[in-house]
Amino acid sequence: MKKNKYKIISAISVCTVLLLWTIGSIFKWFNPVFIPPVKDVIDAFLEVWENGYKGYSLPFHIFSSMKRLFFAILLAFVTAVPIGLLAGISKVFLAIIDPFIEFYRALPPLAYYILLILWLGIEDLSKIILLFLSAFAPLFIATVFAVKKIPEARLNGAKSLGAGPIPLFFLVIFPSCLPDILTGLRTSVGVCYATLVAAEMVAAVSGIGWLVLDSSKYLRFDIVYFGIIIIGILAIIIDSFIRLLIKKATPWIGKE
Amino acid sequence: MVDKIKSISLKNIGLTFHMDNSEDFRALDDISFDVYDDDFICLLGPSGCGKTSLLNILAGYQAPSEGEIIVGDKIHKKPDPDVGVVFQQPNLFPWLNVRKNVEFGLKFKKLGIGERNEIVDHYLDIVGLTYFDKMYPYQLSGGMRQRAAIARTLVTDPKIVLLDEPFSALDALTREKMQDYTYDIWTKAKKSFFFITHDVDEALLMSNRILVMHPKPGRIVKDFKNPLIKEGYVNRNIKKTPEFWSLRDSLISDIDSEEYNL
Repeated sequence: MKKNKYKIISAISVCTVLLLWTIGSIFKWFNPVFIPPVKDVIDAFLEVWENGYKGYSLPFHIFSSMKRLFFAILLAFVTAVPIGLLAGISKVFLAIIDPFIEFYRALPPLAYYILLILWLGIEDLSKIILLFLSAFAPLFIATVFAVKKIPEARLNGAKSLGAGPIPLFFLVIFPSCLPDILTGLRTSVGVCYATLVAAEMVAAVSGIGWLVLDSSKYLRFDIVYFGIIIIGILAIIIDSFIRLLIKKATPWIGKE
Repeated sequence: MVDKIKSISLKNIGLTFHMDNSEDFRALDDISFDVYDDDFICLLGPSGCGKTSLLNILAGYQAPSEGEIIVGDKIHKKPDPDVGVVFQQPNLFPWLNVRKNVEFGLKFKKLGIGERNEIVDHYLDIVGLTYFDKMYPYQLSGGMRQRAAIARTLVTDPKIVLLDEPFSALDALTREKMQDYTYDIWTKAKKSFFFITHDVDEALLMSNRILVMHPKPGRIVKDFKNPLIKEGYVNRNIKKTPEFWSLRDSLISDIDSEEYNL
C-alpha cells in the first residue's frame, strides 16, 4: 500500500512536467528551437515511425543499439566474472592483471575508440568492443570484492563437509558472489549504455544514439527530443529488468 | 561392559604464532587427550585462552606447530567430513533451502537419490525441521537455522562434531531450548560432541565430560566426568541441588585460579 503511494506520487510528478511542457508549448512560453512543442515531437515520432530514418525503421535503430549493448554485456559477463573470481581467489593472478585494468579503467572510452576502429574496423565489432571494455571494469571489480567478502567460516564449513577445490568454486564461491556480481552487472549496463551514444558517433548508419546525433546536424530538434526520450525510457526498462533478475536470483538479500 | 571406541586423539598439540615485531606467541602447549564415541565434552575456558585455536586445529583449518591429531587410524591434517563443525553463526548457504543445505555434504559421497533423501529425512527429523525443509534460511528463526546447521554437519556421518559456542548469538530462551535440542540430538546421533563454551552452567547441564583450559599458553588443566548428568535429557532441576552449586563454584575458581591479565 505504502509502496503504491510513492509510485502514484512519482506518476503525478511526471505528468505535471509533461503537462507544463504541453501548456507551455501551446502558449508559446519557450523558444521552439530550444524546446520544441509537444505536437512537433509527436509528429516527428510518427513521421520516423512510418517512414524510418535514413533508410532504416525506428525499431531497427533501436534493435541495432540493443544488439550492440547485448553482445557487449554478454561478452563482459562471460569474461569479467570468471576472471574476477580467479583474481579474487589468487593474489598472484590479481597482481598480474590489476595494473592493466586500473590503467584502462580511468581512460575516457573515446580516447581509445579511434585505436579500436584502427584495429577492428568501422563495423559493429569495434563498437561492441568499446562497450565491452566500459562494462568489463565495473563487473570485474565487483566480482573481485565479492570473493574477498565471503565469510571464512562459510568456506571452511564447506571444506569440512567434503567439498574439494572445484565444487568449492562452483557450489560455494560463485553463488556467494552472485548478489554482488548482479549489482556489478547493473552498474556495468549503466556505464555501457552511456558509452553507447558515444560509440555510435563515429561511422555509424544505425542506432538510436546515432539517430539523435545525426538529426541534430540538421537542426531537427524534434527528432533529437523524442530520440532522447526513447533512450531514457529504454534505460529504465533495462534497469527494471535487471532489478527483477536480482530479486528473482537472490531473494535472500536484505532479509538475513 | 563394552569397550569405548576412540573417535579422535590429540597428541602433544602445540601452537606458536611467529610475530614480526614482538616475541613469538605460544597459543597452545602440549595438549593431549582422547575423545570417545559416547563423549559429550564441554571445553571451558576464559576468552582468549586458545579455545578457538584448538578448534581450528581439530577441524584442520590450522596446522599445529607440534603434535598431531589422529582420527580413526589416519593423521588428520585437512578439513574433511570425519570432523564436523558447527559454527558460532549458522553459516548456512542462503541460496539453498533447508533440505538442500542439509544435503550439501552428501553430494561428495557416492549415494543414490533414494539413499540421500533417506539420510536427509532422518536428520531433519532428529533436529525437528521435517516440515520446514522447503524454507530458506532467511525465513527461519536463529534457533532453527542453528539446528539446520547441526543437521547439515551430521549427514556426512562425522566421527566427532565440533561446536564452537553455537548458541552465543541466541537469546536466553532460545538458548535453553537449543540446549535441550542439542542434548537430544546427541543421544540420537550417537556421535561424540566437542562443545566449546564459556558458560559454566551450560557445561554442567549438558556435557558428561568437562575440560578446563587455561591461557598463556593455552593448555588443559582439568579433565573430569560430570557427576551431575544422569538422565537422558537436560534436567534443569539439578540447578536446584547443592552439588550443582558447589561444582559450579569450584569450576569458576578453577577457570579463574591463575593470575592472568585479559
